Amino acid sequence: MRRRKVRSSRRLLGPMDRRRFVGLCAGSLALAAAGCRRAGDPAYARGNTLVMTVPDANVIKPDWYDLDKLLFPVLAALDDNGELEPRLAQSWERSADNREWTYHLRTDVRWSDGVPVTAHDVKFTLDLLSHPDVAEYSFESVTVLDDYTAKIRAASAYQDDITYFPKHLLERLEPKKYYDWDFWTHPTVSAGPYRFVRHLPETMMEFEANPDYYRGKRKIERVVLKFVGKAGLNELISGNADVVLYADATQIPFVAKDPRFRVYYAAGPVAQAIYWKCDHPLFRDVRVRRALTLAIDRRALLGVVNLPSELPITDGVFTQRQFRRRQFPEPVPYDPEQARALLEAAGWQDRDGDGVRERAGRPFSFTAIVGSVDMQGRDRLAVYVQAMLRRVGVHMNIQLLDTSEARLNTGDFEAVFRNANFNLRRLFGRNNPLGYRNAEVVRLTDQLLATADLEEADRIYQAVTEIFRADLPVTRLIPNISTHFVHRRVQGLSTPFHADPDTYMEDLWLEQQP
Amino acid sequence: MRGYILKRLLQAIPLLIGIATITFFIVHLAPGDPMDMYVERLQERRDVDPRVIEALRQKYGLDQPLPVQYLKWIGNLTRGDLGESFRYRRPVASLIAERIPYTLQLTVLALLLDALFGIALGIYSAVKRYSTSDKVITVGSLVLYSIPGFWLAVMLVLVFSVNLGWLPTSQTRSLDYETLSAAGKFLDRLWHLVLPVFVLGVAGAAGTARYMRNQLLEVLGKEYVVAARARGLPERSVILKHALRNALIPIVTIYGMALPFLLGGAVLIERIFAWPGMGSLAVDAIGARDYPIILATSMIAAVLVVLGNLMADITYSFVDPRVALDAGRQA
Repeated sequence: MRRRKVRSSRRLLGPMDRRRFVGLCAGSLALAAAGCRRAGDPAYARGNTLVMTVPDANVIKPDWYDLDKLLFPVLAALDDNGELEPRLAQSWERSADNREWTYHLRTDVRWSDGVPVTAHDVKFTLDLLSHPDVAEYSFESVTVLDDYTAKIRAASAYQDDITYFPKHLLERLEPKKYYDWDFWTHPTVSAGPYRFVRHLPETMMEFEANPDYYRGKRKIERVVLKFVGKAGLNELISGNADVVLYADATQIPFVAKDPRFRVYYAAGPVAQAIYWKCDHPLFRDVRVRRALTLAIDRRALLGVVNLPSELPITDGVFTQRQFRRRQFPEPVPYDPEQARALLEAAGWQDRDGDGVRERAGRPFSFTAIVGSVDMQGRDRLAVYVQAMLRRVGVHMNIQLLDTSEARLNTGDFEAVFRNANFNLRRLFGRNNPLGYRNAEVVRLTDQLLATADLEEADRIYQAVTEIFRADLPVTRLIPNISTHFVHRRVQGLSTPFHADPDTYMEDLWLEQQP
Repeated sequence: MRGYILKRLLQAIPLLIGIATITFFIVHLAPGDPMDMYVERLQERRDVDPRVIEALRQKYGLDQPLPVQYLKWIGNLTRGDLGESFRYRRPVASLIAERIPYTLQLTVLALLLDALFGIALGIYSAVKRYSTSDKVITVGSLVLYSIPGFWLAVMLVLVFSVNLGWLPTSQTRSLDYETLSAAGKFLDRLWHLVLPVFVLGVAGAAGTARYMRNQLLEVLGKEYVVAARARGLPERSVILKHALRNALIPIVTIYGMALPFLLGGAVLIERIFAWPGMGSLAVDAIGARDYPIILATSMIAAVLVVLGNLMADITYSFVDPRVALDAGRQA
């Protein structure tokens, strides 16, 4: 029976069929070979062209990146010391209440179609961004004083970080469809350091240096943005890209050991932090919050998420300017012995020898919610913090939750691991969800609301920092970092303040290699 | 047949309304405001004026009570308006329309690879039962079925893209695509499809081959097959006309249920190959609590499951003459 089946199968797939099958396979291979005419796109990652992988195909709008600055002018830009330096605006004045800024524009800047860039473009852009259908910003008023002077009245302290668009090209378009405008994928008119060359949907955008750029033609001739989602590393090691913008930090060890590449880390005032529920019986005592902070070796945590140990560890709250000027105090030190002593003094002792302290029969055990969206290694930080706290006799449970922001806002938590962007009013003002009550902080946050003066804002933040270092309603862990993998031929970047290739593209150059 | 299809489609309407309602309320059960995530992402770059947040809430109707939001959403849905994404701030229909062609390229080819190779190898393996080639196919298909797709994808990228440089690492076409001839463009697309389609299709093909083999072996032992052989029919005719049609019935069910996969995409493969498909759109939306996209993709999946079932039932009647779709003629 079995022999018959085999024989019959020969009839089913007779010699002619087999030859056809082999022919078909050979044909398929030939087709594949014809397709394999080159390896990736290495030609683009050579010469004076920089190829940068971008996680998202929407590179201009919504403006998650600073890539719009390649094409469109800004009024002023922050330098490495956190000071504003002139760009499209050659000078400016601020009103007495610091809410009104009058900008005097350069008169020699033109859009790439030859039309001058004027105050009308500034007004058009700000009105557009304040339109209810766009709702990116909210300005009280924008007035054109003359063709090259614009007066902007803001509701609160603001620092201009806006790119300006050509009114003559966009004024007839509907704000309702703002994010769907073809202009964002085909920005044919620009006035920035680069100008648009072409766009391949879901694939790439290409720019070339603008020879008429008012700050002079940039050194890199062409910039290609490849939309590769999370596949940037493969593109880099295949030689198809020079820069992986906003890379995955878990890949740092792999890239860091390869001499062809460098890793740049951009830091800012935002940090990974633990928010304590300050009116909770466990955390009401400031000695306890201090002990928990002392028990965490924050410099060691940098290594947990593959970050270099020289990144700043600090406590308190800062503006961008203060952070860039390194105007922040030394952190509360890592001192587990002192942590133990403080816990003892607060009445927490391990009487039953189980490794967890108790007070009045209640063990020192709590649950920390760990925000699971955009974690950036937060889960690993939590595990290490858990182990560090265990060493001083505190038991922390970890609960991963993607609604941690909501739990934080409603006050329904004991401790939360989150990105700390330190919105002072929301988190530490009146009736704040942390249960942190400090009349001086409330007064300072009210004062912050009333000022648009950057110097005064800095002073307020400094005062709040002093209070926070004493009260520790929040324990900052490590700075929030943007990581970029960069081929060594790309020059002009530095960690931590000049590390974002999208922000500083116009300052970069390529080292020509043999 | 037409009456049957119409009846099934009408039956599907309350089912889909039920799915829409349950999905809407489950998605909104999560505490907090979905705008928080958008604003939080913005706040990492700049201070966001509270008035901007309020304007966004109003724009997307998030300031309305949940029942009002539901009625508005279901009303828009019946008009084909899927709403606007919170994350991309663009119409969901546009975002989905951009992704569907890429998803279909990938999934249709993967399904074809799965069906053609899976069924062919399954038949071959069954017909050559216990032969060396059967053993090779059996072991090979078990191995391929067991290998996780993401691991296989990464390994293939390392070997064929990074080390050998034969195939592209990612994306759907080359940077110089526009400069290619029509044939060049076609080949370029194929070139980019080789790895993702292989990875996506090979596990399915391996599974189908195993399933097909077992089904065919079971059918080959049936009396009507023995009778067909006894009547002196050629073996090719016995296998293809008598055994295969019956063995295919369960396979048809599997492919009927594959319809949601065609538009649903494959998240991990899309991620590894930077393929701009529906899978990553949906998963990213879940991470960003982008309700309009989550709801739209859930509804598309629901519609496809309903249609897939219907198509499988219709296909039965072609494959198996005993299956009559009209209730009065049920065999």
